[in-house]
Amino acid sequence: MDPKPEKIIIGIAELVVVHNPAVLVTIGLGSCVAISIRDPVARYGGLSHILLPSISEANNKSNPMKFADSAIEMVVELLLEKGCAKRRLEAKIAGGASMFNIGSSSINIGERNIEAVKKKLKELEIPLIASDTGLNYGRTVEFNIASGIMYVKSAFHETKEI
Amino acid sequence: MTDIKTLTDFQSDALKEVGNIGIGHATTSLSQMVNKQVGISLPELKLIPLLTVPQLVKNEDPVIGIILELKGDAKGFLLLLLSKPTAKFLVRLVIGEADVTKGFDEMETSVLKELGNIMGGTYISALSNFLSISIGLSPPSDVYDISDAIINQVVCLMSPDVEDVLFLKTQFDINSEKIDGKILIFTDSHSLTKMLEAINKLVGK
Repeated sequence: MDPKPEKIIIGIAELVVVHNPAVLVTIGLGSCVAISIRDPVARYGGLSHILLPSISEANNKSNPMKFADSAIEMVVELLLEKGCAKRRLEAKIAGGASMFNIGSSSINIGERNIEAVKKKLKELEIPLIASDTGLNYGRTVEFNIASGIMYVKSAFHETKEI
Repeated sequence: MTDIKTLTDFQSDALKEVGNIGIGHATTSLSQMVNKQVGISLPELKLIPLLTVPQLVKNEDPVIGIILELKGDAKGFLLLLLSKPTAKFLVRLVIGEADVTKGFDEMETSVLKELGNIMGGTYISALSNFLSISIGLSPPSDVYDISDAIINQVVCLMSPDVEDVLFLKTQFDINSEKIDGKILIFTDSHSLTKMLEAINKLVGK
C-alpha cells in the first residue's frame, strides 16, 4: 500500500469520488455534515460536505452538492458508474454540531442535516456503520479510502477513529 | 427583488467608504476600552458567492470568535476572531489580568463579548446614521474552536436564503503592533439594494 496516499481537500458544498489510494479531507465542519460512502471490494469511496438538509426546500437548486439528499444521490450515482455494487456500499458521517446559538430558525440546522442524511441513506438502503455527530464543537474529517477509517479531529478533543 | 451580482466602481468605492466609516468608529470604541491606539488595515471588500468565503479566511487553528447577527435593513453577521494570545492580551488591557495558561473563564469571555458588542454597536450606529437606514444587532455569542469551523458555521446559517455576500475583512493592530485579530462582516446581497439606494440619496443621485 502506498504509505502516503494523496490528500484531496473537499470544500464546503463539494464532493469527490475516487479509487484507492487516497485520503479525502474536509476541514472545519460546523453544522455541516461530511458523509463518506465506500465500496470495500471495488475500493472506491466518496466524501461529500453538505450544508443544508434538502434540495426540495431550497429556492436555488443550482448546486446539488449543497444538500444532504441530492449530494448523497450524486455520490451513489458516481460510485455505481465506476462499477461499485449498491449492496456493498456503506456510509459513515461526522459533523452536524451546534457550535453557537444565534438567530432563530438556525438553531437546529445541524440536527436537521443529520436527520436528512440518515433519511436518505435509509431510503437508498445504505447502512450507516459509524458516526460522530452533534454536540457543540467543530470537526475536521480525514477519510481513508483504503481502510475505510474516518479520522475525526477537533480543537480540544482526542482524534476519533470511526 | 432581484439580487445585485456585480458592483460598479462607484458602488464599490461608496460601500468601501461606508464600511471604513463603520469600522473606524468600531475601532475607536475598542481604543477607548483598552486605552491604547487601535488601528486597522485597509478593509478588503468584495461581493462574492457565499460559498467562496471559507477560501478567503483559511485557518485551521483554534480562535475565539465573538459573533453578532445584523438585522433589519442590512442583514448578516459581524465576527471578531482572535487568537488566544491576542484575546488574553485584550482581556488584560481591560481588566488588568488574564491567565494565558488556561482557557477562557466566564469573566474573560464576558469581557470579550462586551468588546464585540461595543464594536458591533458602534459599527451599526455609524452605518445607520450615515445611510439613514435601520440596522439591529443580536446579543453576542462566543465560541472557542477551529477558525474554519466558525466560518463554515456562519456560512451554513446564511446559506438557506443567501447566494452572494458583501464580505468585508480587516485586520487590526494595537499601538502599531500587528496582533492576530480579524473583523469579518458578512452582509447579505439582498440588503445591498437598500444600502445602495441610501448611498445614491446621500450623493444626490
